[in-house]
Amino acid sequence: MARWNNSTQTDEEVNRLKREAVLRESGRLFSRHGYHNTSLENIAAALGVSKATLYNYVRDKQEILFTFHNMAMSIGERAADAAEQSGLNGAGKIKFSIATYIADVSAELGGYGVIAEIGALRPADRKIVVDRRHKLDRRFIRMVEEGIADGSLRSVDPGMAVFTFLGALQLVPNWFSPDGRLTGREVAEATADILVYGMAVQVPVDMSAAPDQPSDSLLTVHKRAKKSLKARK
Amino acid sequence: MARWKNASHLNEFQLKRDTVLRESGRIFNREGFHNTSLDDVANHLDVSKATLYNYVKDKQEMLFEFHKMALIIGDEAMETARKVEANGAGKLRVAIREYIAMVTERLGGYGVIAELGALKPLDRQEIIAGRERFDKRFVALLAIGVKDGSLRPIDPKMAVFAFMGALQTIPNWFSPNGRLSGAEVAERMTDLLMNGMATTPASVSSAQRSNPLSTLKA
Repeated sequence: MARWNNSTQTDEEVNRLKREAVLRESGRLFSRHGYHNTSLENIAAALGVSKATLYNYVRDKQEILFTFHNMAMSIGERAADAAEQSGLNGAGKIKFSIATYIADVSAELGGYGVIAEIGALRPADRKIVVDRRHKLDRRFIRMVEEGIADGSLRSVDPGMAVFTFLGALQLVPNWFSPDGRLTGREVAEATADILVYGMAVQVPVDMSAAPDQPSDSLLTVHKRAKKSLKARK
Repeated sequence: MARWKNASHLNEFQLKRDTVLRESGRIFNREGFHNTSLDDVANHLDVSKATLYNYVKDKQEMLFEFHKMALIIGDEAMETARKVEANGAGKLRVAIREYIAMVTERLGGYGVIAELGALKPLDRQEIIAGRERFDKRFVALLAIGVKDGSLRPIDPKMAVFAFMGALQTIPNWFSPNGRLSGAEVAERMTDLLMNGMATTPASVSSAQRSNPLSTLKA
């Protein structure tokens, strides 16, 4: 971020800032009218430039979409890096990742409700984004497993837990508005709090205090879950 | 509910259309909505494109149908929760669990309901309005739970956005042939959203101690 605020205005920097302006306007229009209902002409008109000028900064709509997806993935990877190096316990790492991701996404991608539009990517781009997502999923699954092992997390199903909170995170750019009632930082803290502590008032059932022998069905489910996790690795 | 379960009331046309939609949903999910043509769908179903046109007008109509199904499911889940004799948390638990169970059961592999932008503008407006109504009912339910003390004093709107994100993205990863059944996914995700992941509040180590709730006071 500091790079942007502290700009030295070289040609390269000016180009980047202009591209950034194009992206911001595209994101705003996609978000408001829908990706498929917005054309490059609409974007050029909103910026008050010609379509030809626009082509200096972006090749087409799909490239813009791909850029947003890559930005979201980079934010996720940065959050995971910071969490892994934080020295926190498993639960702490998860809560930290969620809050960091949302704070950064709302700052950098707020209002760009397009990262759900994964199907509109070019097949090759789509594969890159999906692969990055899968890698990130696995890192978060390992963090949840770490939390269960160190006793800071309940014995939840790690895969399910990760899909649950990543699902919540994925749609933040769809509804977050920088002019809304809450700041990105507030949204980040509140969401992390809700996902880590839950909504209900009662003290969660401590699964580690359950009898040594779980019921057959539960045992089978756990075995299947382990097997499937091994297969993923 | 009764209408769907009681298949004798459905004529053959509706049943076939339902099959066409379900199968197309799977193909869209696997190949991506925008990378799949109606020709591809016809090939997969082993019918001619002309036959397909008896049931659907175009891809966008199919997408609209999936979105409408998701909204109907939401209404049904909410109705079930409303009728349950329980406090706010209990009703919320039922609404979330029913929604997930029905989405996984009926919308199985339809990972396309995230594709809001591909809808025709008027259809999109209708779906967004439907979602907003649904969100408002959830916010009201949460407010009841916070008031009766069964839910923590969370921000109802924030909570709804958080769990609706989790719920809406289920079709992106859920597979009817996966390791968990729809009912298992429903149980686990509901448990995660209601009870969270942490063993106890004190078990979460934190770099700097902060009280997120204090920042939310109006």
